Amino acid sequence: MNEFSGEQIYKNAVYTPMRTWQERKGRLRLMGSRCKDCGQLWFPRRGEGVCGKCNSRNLEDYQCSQTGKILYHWAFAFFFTLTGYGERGTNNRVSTLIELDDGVHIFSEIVDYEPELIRDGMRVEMVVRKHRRETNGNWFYAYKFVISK
Amino acid sequence: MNRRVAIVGVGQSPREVSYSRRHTWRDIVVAAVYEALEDAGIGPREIQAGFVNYHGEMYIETGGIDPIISDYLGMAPAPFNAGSAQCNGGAMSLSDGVMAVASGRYDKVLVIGFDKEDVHVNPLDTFNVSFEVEYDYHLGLSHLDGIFLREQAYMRKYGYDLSPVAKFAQQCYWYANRNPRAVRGKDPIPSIEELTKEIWPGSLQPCLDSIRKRSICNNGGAAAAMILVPEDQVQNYAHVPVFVDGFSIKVISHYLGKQQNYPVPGLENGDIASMPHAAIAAKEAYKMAGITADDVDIVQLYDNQITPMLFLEALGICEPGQAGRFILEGGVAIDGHCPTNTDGGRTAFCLSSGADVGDMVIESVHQLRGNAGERQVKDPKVSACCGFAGCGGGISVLIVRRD
Repeated sequence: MNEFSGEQIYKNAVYTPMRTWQERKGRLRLMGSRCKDCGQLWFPRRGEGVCGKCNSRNLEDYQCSQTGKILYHWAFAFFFTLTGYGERGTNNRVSTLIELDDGVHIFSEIVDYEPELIRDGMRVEMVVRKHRRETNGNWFYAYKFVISK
Repeated sequence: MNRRVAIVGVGQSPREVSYSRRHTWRDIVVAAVYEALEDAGIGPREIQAGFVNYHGEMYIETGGIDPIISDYLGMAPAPFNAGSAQCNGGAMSLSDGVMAVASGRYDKVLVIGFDKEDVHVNPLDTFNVSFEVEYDYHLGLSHLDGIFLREQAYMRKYGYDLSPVAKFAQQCYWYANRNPRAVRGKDPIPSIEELTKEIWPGSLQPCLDSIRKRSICNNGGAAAAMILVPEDQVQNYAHVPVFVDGFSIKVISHYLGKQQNYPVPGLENGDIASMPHAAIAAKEAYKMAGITADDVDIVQLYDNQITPMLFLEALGICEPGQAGRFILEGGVAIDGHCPTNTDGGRTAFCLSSGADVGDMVIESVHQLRGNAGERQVKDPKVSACCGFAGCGGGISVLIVRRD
């Protein structure tokens, strides 16, 4: 909810269960792709696509590391967040660029931590969190990150 | 190119918010195009083909717009090639138009960029869907989150606070105050203290105020139009011809994680505190135009928070990490080393996605013709224009010049 829409009006950002199912490996487990020819790692996953480095079509699923560190963070979330997003109905969110331990870079959100206390370089680990509803009413789950203890 | 291509007519829709609110996207496109026709001194039936760009179908909730454009402009059955590449799309249309003339296929080509943002049920979704989508937009992250992360990266890498961003915004207001068409042209010029306080989010709300009121300037809908002809026909037109002598467009990935060290030559060592693909584009555009960075007199770039610094460094106007100091020392002012965004930019002139690059080129045309009024830079000959899409997934560099 925000002042532009006045109330939550789901439109383009309502996900079909089919689309959620297609991306289930990447969103729930950080499954990416690895090129079997040049070894390049990719996230998001490229499926049966092409390696963007060597153009090989010889790709395989690759389980990305689920731990890493914060490269950069933005601790004051932007007001253009989608309707339905934000911690407990607010827009107070932390967006980050994370470098996983295997070198893959993830654009994601940090949760369960005071935004003012977050620092670049902090260790993080993947968690699965509830995001928003799909068209059939199901909750859509996907990864976020928390600060490692 | 087989034939050098000149811009002989330019037009922009009125930028008053009250105008945008009362008119459809068709109206604003017609307004810009007919002003361009008048500027060139030709009739609508003389146009042989057009290239049009807008943010995307969802932005105006209308798709397949080429017949609509041709019909409403009174140019049917002239063909229109419609594309969408967000805020960088104007560069796509212009380069396509230039190539259509340079190839010899057409002699009079119309280039249009436009958008209309104030007619959505939910503007946030339509605004943010132009992204990687499954792994950012669907997870609640916008391209503006990406731009802010770039800003954080730049500031931390080179030891800046937000004062260069505020100084650049203040300079944009100064120019806008001298541009009768600027949306923020009558707004008082904010102080650095005001801007810094508002841009730097000590709490969430000042940040929101900053973005909404100061740093971008969306009037709800705008259009920009240009008319292209080959060099051997410029004597038929009244204005000083301005040539599109170089252009280069580079696109990598919308996904911010991939923009960090994208694994291809020239980009693999680039981080999000820089735009190595923009530097490659600048070199290509300079080479095509036969110039160097030293020849660039003025710059018109996509300004949204940190992007001016990234572009000034990619263009070679400043060394890496020096653009912040360059701005703080007045380098982008009208009497500075490289006057930048002399119409007021996206900060204070107008931000309207599909029209953005067109607005940059049109301001360059006014400056190079010498008819920019109070904001006229002294005798510029070469202008570099820089488009930007998403959080840097697509960029462009265009070189326009007068002889």
